[in-house]
Amino acid sequence: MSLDPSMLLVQFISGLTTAMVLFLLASGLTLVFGVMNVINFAHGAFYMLGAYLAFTMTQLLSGSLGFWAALLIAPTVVCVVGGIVEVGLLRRIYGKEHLLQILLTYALIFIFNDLIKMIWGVNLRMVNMPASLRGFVTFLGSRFPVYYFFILGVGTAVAVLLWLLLKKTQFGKLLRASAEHRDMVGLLGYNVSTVFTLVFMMATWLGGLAGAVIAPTVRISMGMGMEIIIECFIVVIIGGLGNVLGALLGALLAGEIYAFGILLLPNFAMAFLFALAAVVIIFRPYGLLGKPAQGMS
Amino acid sequence: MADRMETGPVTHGNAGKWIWISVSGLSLIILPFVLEKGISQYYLFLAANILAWALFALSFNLVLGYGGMMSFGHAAFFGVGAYTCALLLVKASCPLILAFLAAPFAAACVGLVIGYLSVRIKGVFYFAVITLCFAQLVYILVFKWRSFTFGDDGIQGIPVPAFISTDESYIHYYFFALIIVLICAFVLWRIVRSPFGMILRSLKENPERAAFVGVNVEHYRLIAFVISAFFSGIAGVLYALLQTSISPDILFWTVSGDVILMGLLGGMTLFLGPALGAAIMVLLNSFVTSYTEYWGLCLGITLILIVLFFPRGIGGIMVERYQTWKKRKEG
Amino acid sequence: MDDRKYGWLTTAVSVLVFSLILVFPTGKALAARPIKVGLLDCYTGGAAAFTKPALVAWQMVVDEFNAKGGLHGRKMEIITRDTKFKPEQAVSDARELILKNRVDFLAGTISSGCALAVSQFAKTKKKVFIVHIARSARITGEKGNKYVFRGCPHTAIEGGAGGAYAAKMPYHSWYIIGDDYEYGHAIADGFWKGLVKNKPDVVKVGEVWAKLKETDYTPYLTALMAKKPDAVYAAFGAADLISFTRQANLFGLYQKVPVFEYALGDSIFPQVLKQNMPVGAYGGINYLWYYPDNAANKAFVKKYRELSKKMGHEDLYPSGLGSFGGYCSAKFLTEAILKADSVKTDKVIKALEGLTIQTALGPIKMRACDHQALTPTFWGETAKVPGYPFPILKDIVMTPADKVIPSCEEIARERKQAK
Repeated sequence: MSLDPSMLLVQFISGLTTAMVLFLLASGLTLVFGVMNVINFAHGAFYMLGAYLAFTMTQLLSGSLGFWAALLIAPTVVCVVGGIVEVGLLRRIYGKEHLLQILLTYALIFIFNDLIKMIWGVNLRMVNMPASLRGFVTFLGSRFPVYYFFILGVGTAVAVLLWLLLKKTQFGKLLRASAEHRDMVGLLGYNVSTVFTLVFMMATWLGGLAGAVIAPTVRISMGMGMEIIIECFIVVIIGGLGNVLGALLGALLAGEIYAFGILLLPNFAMAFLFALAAVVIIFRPYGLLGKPAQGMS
Repeated sequence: MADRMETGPVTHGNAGKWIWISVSGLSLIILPFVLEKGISQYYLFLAANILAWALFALSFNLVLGYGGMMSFGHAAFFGVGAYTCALLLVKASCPLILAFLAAPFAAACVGLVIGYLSVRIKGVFYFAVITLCFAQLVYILVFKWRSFTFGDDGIQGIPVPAFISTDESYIHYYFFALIIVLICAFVLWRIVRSPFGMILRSLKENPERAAFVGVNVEHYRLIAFVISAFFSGIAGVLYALLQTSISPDILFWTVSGDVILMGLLGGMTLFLGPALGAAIMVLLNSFVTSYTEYWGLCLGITLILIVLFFPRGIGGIMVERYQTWKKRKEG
Repeated sequence: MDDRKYGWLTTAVSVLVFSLILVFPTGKALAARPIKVGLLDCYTGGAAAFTKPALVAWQMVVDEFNAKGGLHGRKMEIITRDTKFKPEQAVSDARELILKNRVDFLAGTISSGCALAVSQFAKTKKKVFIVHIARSARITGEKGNKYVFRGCPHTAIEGGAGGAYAAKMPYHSWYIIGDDYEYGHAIADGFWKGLVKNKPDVVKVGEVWAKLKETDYTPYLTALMAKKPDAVYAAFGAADLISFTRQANLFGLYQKVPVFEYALGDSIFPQVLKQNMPVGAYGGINYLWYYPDNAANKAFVKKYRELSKKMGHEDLYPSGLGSFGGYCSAKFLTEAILKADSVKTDKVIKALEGLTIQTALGPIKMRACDHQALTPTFWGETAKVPGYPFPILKDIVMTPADKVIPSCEEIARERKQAK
């Protein structure tokens, strides 16, 4: 295949947008693990919920207004649901075996899937892009969907905000400290329960946003959550559980490897991702930027 | 939390034990006839299905319940076993005995590779996610390698030899599977009670102390992993021979999840617990899906109840009840 | 143990609540020994847009059959199962339907993988299995057997017709893009064979296969444009066709190069794609609700609309993939039962072979040698035509099946080789 520079550029940008969505998801997942020492298997379900909510918003409010409202409302609703789940269910298992914690979040996937099926039915759903973001732009001789740049914008904005939160605010310092030493939260006199709930809500907010952002470009259907969670896990493995910067790095690597994998061996592009994860595990078992899990069991 | 592993129901002396064994044995032998002739072939099929999944769950428990490793990738071994057998039967017209023997070895090889790369990972979550990713890699390979594995079309009409063919009746297959499962279960039982099994359990409870004493933790874990993969492969063969058609879906990570749930449902601290869990899952699934399409909701709620209130599973509850009853009798 | 008691209470309440949820949709009053048809299909996700209309069409035929008294008073009843597009689930459902529900016939599915699996299973259990949407030629080709029948066309028929249609146009260099699974490859092969047969000088400048449910086709589209082909053939399964067409439209593909898309002519797509439905593209399908514009077709559409509304899946424009395939398959089954005057498998098989049914498109025959219905195919160019709610096909070319279908000898050879 002739390596036309314009094609390479398109691939590169396409990979970046995939990376941005993955980052939105993976950052939440990894943050929850870092602070709360829980792997949320149901993270993909929140993403799926965000997409379905975006669909409903665009049905209720027609035109572009529906989409922008969706961006605001969908993540918020998802975040609230996340809060309910954390307070109602997750809190009961914090002290218990890791095994049980995993299984609880795994059971949530089934419940979410069926609840979504009950509410929205099984048909395929589609969300239309707002008029302002449709179409293509020509940039450096290649055509890119305008929406690419929108995703990039949102992703970068979130990354910057997260960085500011983690580095500059009190709350962020607390999160980083507890990622190093889990007991730190309690030792410093903060209410552990509240911090945990806030972190979980933040993570699900990010997940819901990812779902809402990607909604206009994909078919919204039942299997969404299951598919994306695997890619999320890979990103988080590559970057290192608990490390948000690692999640960004992992997402960028995953996005680009997949994008260029399509050029080289389209059939096995997905396998490249896994191969990368395998390589990282062999040489750096805890991810590129990760550390061995605290309180090993 | 140090779980004491129950190695079987404790009965009053030898007489009680033999009565228990004879009754179960007799029931297992009469069951297929009662089901197929009396009720419907369908229920015998369910029983046969339970046998295959029970073996899978029992072998998986070696790693989870006894080894303390939460592998989320066991579907790979189950699936490799099924696919190896099916491919040999379909493509190479291998005699069953060869296909049957090759499959668990293939599964064990995959287990060796995945296990080797995974057992040095400390941390339950890391381990779970990493095994999941490796298993998904196997899934993708099988799915994409159409020329070799038929890809997402799967393999239909696996040529099952006449003596266990399920075209007319499931009785022959049932006895075949029953014998295999009993032999494998017995072997696993012996492994669990052997010095190896003891060390494995001590590793689960306190790996640091074991390492301190000079035990090569990773080594033992890897062996357990490979043994578990071997028997999971046999379970895969049983499954393939029963269904006579398989697809890459049996390698998907949710199958790994299913077998963990069976262990949870039945009780991971009891040797036969996962077998009980397998029976419960299969029967519950069959029952619920004939009434509603919301099986996921039912399963999810059941699991949450178990995780929150009955973490030792139904088997665990039964054992507890039995022991309370015994104490009351004695005291 | 407070926690434990609480646990039992919660469990009891959950069981109670759940039983209530279960109880509601029940209420199957079974009449005197009805004729049961087990309809297996995927009612989840993208496939539902086709399988639900197919179900409506089945019900239409069954209602007609029952209204005429059924078979000596025995009415027909459809039992559905959702296969979720998984072959193993399909076999499992088929097993349940045959052994537990004791159905007399099996029907379905949209997925070729599921159809192949069920076909094998039906053979061992000696039950007739009539395929109503699945398109893989293998189902009635090399993997065909005595018990499987198909009431809709397959990839060789439709692809071949498409290739013959495209061969009439002056496009020399082609690029193929499609779904990377058996179905995608099959419809591409069928098209290419038909094209080469009629226009031997065509050349393939490239092909690319996207993974199933791909979310971003932009890189593929860029790669495609870089090769500057004269024309493009898109070989996607129905659900991915929607994603691809949407994105390709936004990309401006249809303005740059003529695109031939399998199944684009079906009524479902313009309704789903809405403003993203391309104009000036070429699409094919096995049934059009507006062509031929005769009394038979009009009556069919009217009856279908009424029933769909009654069943709660209101559908104004019956589709070829879904509704018509379901209709023909159901019609074949009911007519065969009446002709055989029995529901015994061997008698119905004999009645089906060579049977001709009357449809809105005229008579359609079930070929005896491979149990494949000889259904016609339509290809045309998408255009906005005044008086129609969405873009439809114009300059329609109808190709009867026998012009493009592999001969009986070829099928026999394929089946022998496959053994």
